[in-house]
Amino acid sequence: MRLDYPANVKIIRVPCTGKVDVLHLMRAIQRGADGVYVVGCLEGSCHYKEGNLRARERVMHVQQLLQEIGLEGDRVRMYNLSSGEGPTFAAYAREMTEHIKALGPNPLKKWATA
Amino acid sequence: MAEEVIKLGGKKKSYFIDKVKEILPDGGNLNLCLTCGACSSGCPATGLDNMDPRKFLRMAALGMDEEIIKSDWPWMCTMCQRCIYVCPMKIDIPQLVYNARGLRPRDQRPKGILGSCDMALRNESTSAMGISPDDFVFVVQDVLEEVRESQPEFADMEAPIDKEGAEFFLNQNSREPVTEPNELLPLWKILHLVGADWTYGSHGWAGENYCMFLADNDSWEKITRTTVNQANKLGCKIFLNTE
Amino acid sequence: MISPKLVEVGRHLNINIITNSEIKTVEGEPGNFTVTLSNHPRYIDPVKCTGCGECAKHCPVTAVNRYNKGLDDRRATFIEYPQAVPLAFGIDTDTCIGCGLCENVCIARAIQYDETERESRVTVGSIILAPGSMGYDPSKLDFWGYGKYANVLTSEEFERILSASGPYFGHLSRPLDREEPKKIAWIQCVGSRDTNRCGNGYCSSVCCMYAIKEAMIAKEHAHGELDCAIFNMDIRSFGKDYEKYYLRAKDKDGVRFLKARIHTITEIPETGDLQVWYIDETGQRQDEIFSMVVLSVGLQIPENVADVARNLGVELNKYRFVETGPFTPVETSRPGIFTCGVFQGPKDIPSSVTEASAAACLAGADLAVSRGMDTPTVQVTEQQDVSGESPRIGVFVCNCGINIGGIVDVPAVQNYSATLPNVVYTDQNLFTCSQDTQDKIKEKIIEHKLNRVVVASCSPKTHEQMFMETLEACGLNRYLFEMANIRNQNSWIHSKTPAIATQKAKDLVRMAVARASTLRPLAEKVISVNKQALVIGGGVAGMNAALGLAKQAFRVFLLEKETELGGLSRKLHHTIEGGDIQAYLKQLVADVRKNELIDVVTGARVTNFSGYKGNFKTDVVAGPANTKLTIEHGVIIVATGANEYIPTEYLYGQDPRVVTQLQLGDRLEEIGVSDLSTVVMIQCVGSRNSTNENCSRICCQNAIKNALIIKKADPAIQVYILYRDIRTYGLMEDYYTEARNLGVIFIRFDETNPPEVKSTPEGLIVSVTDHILRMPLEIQTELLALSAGVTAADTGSLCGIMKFNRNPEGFFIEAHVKLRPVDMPGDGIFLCGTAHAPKLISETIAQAQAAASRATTFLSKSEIKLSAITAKVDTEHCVKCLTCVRSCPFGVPVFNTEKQIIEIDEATCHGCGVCAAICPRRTIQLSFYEDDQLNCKIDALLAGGM
Repeated sequence: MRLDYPANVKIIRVPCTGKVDVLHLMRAIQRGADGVYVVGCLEGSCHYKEGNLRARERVMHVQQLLQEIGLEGDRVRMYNLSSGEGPTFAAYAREMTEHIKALGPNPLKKWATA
Repeated sequence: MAEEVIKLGGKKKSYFIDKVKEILPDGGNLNLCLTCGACSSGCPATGLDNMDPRKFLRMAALGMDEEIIKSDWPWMCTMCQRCIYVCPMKIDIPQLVYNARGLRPRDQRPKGILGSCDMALRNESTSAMGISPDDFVFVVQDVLEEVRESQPEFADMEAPIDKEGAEFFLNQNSREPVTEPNELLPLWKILHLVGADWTYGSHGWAGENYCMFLADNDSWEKITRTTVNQANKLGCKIFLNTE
Repeated sequence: MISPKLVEVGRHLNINIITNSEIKTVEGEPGNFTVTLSNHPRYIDPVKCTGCGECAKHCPVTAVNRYNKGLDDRRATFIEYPQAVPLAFGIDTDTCIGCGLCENVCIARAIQYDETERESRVTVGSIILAPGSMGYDPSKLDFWGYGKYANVLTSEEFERILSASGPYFGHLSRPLDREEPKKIAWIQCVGSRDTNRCGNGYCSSVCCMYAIKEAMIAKEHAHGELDCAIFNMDIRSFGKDYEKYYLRAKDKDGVRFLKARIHTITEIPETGDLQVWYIDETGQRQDEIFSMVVLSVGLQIPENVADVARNLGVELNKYRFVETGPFTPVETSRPGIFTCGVFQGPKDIPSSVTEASAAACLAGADLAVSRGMDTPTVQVTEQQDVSGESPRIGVFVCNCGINIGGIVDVPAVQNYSATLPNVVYTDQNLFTCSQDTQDKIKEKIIEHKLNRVVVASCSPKTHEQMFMETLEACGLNRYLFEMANIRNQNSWIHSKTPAIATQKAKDLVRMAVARASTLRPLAEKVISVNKQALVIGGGVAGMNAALGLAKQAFRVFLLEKETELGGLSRKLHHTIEGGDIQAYLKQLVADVRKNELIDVVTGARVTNFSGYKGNFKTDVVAGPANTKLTIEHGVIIVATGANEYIPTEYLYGQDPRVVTQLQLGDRLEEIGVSDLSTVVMIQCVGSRNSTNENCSRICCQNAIKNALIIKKADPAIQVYILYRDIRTYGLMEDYYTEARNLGVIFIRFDETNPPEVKSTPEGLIVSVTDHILRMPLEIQTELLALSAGVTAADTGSLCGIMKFNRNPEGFFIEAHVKLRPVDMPGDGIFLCGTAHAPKLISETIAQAQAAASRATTFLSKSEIKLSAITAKVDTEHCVKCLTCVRSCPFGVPVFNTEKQIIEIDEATCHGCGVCAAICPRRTIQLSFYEDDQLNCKIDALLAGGM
């Protein structure tokens, strides 16, 4: 549908958001990502029944962990949409980008090692 | 009415609705009601006498003939047919209502309509207001003369009565000649300007037919025949019914 | 939802899609038809067209977009929607001005203005007619002002408005002023159940549900409070679990349901709002103002579609649907030609999909002897062993015409990729997906000894499989492939900032290359398929499924728990159409009994079960002697049936004059009606209540069927049917109309105010309030028939052994309500008949044939390849905490008590990765998505700095 969204969003493909691990989210932040978000199916319509619900729990867990070490938990978020919702995807990408811009750069970035 | 209990049971008897069905094409679809209420939501008589077309049909379907005879509602129906226009089942409620009027003894039907019908039966004009053919001829001539004089552009306008061989036979509601004679003019002028060859009849000129509204079929027919016979007698080709 | 199906059909080796064509003639016999087609010109060669869309971008002509129901516009060169198959544009010559711009910009040289109408022939063995239907055009119904008032819409238009890909991008707004509506009304039965204005006497079956759905979605999309009112005559939520959806809309989400039809809609000129009048439940006239009114238009078969069928000698009914029999639901009057979907009769998606499989079953049965003879297969090349080799990566960057190349600096990306670790070869292509590029890729793989390939182009969703096949064709394992989506995720969305797009393309390629280095060859396990089938349940469903499979030449074991075949149908006499069920059953049993491929096992009980798709093993105890039997089979069809609910309501069991509809059916058959003067029926007994929320689907037609038998035998017998909603969906509406015509009186009651029944020596007294007159009725009757609902058969012990999932009502759960209505969640297991949900005998037969068809797709292969994307346990480091066992949504990981290890069966693993993510010791890895294969992408991305 060629809907514009910010170029700073880059996608890593997983079979199901249930595969997304706390470690993956933490690693991205540790390596200097300013924000990470997980995009799953709408709640109740996970192809694998409940992977997206697990992902949400993990995202919430990472949010807590980040807060505990003094970072904004909100750098990590979970969004849900169905595969037919291109415009919503673009809207979330913009929303997340605006949100992260407001938070400013990830303070860990200066120590980040590739 | 709400306190009463409708008791049903036993084999089906012949009700009023069955008699109406017999005389209508496809039985007027009177059995087919889906009870959607579209008829009642658009009926100008809905709510009058706590009745509406759907309720009325339902009473008929449940065999509540006594209540139907008693109801004044059939007399409030304007026969506009808005109900049948939108009914998904094309139920001929107007015909049911019409026949319900006929259930009541003639002398107990609404006085106004009854009087008008009786009046029309009494004269050859078929006028519910009772004006005689002679009076009608006089009024027409009088109005015509006046307009010919006062409006020179219509100096040669005609308002023929009993003109043999005219193409159009025109009838006329009694109200105009009796109460508003000048209201006769607009139609005459139109007919004049288009060059129509028309005529009134001295008999059967009155277009209103209260006997029809009275559901007095024989009288309705008598009135109609009077006017049609006059048109035929004059050899007119087209009957222009203004009512 | 439909996209994966489109892609599957588009990619299927044995499906040849011929679009833009119509059937002219069909000659020949079943098994050997010659079909003559007229192929309309498309003016763009679908083989050459890459779907890049440059032509439409440059086309100067504005045309009405019919796909969005005329609510927006498109170009004269166009594609209906982005997921269309084939993904190829066409030129609408009605609007094209012939400027030649599209030809100039088409790099694929696909434009062919001089294309003309052609004729072609195909030879086929069977034909399935599935032309679908059109929404009714309500312009004729002048009283509702469609076409006159901008805010009166059809449901099809409203559907597009709600769609994210629709004219308003999913923003709930009304056409007149694009304001968000505050109040929306739906009018049901527009172009359905109307013999006055449109002549469509049937019910369109789907409008109630889609109206509810539209109301629910509209409420979700609305920013403030949205009032939704559905004006209906009956709500027909008769499908599986549909009633629950209706209740949710009504009770939780506040959608208003009004049992009323609107006479006239009037526009308020100043605001564009719409005023309606209706009669409420109490009989009072109300007026209300809505911002929008949606007309729920019915389904109808266009005359030109009907003409095609008539030309083929296929008989249609008076509404232009295909004439089919109650016992032959998908067979047309011409042998060898089958039908399915709405052309057969109005129906919803699950029923259409089911019927489609049924038609495929019968179409395939005629061709069973020649299976595999005329179908292409893929040649498998032997795989080279690359293990131990260090990664040698080839990167192919695609220009996609100018879709990528016009924005992204492709040479720069190519040069950049050459600098990345392990990259030994790079190239760029105009269209990487074209056939000649595939050949080139193969050449380069061999020439440069590439053992990993990265393609930077478009979406893996549409192209990954194709590139993987290219790798496979030259002996490279298909899992040594990675894509970078630099078009859909990059050039298309950052077209205004080429420099940023080029940088992002480099990032994406760097990530892909990093991942490619970590990829390992994966073996897709091949398992053999046992070609025998097990059918559980010997009723109409099970027998039809067994016969369907036997006709496809597969051996079937048909288990029946009773001593006799037939199930519930042994108690049925006639279908509503008049089909003689007992005669049909007799023939069906005889056909099953004499079929050499079917082993009937009666008095059967399943005692043990093991295995997986293609290789099941079931132990059965059968017959009076409790004979033990072990059956090995590749598939299972579950057809365990259902029962009539045994009422506890309305004096059933206390007064012999109270019977069920089945008992009434017996009585009408055995004693007749001579002793009857009045019969009362009560609907929804044991359905649509707090114990069983669902509608039992079949009871309305059953009551009407019996009422018609009574009325036809003696018109003087009064029949009263006390109902909540009459649900004679589809063509059965005609029987409801006939029943009313014959004088059956229908009285609607509310769930909160049900009828009462008293027993007196003179007769039963049924009290109910008349819904129109709002007056109490007392009906004295000698017979009260209860329309008892359908209850699931007791399958508790079977499910305990075979691990099948049932819903709270005890009916089996299908894999996907809409797309896979006859598949069970477990592979190789199928479902049909009333074991799935209440349904009619004709629907049962269709679903049984469908189950046979679905099973055939399995059994027709000698072996099946399993996905290599499965979870693997490192048993050495596993601490057996059982977290995976508890977490798997499909119950796949098990603790093997003998070997003392966790086992994950790759035949049953769905590959979702939940276990891998949750394993606290990280001893489970999901192949192709192993931790390092994801982490390296994160690292590579962030190594570039963000």
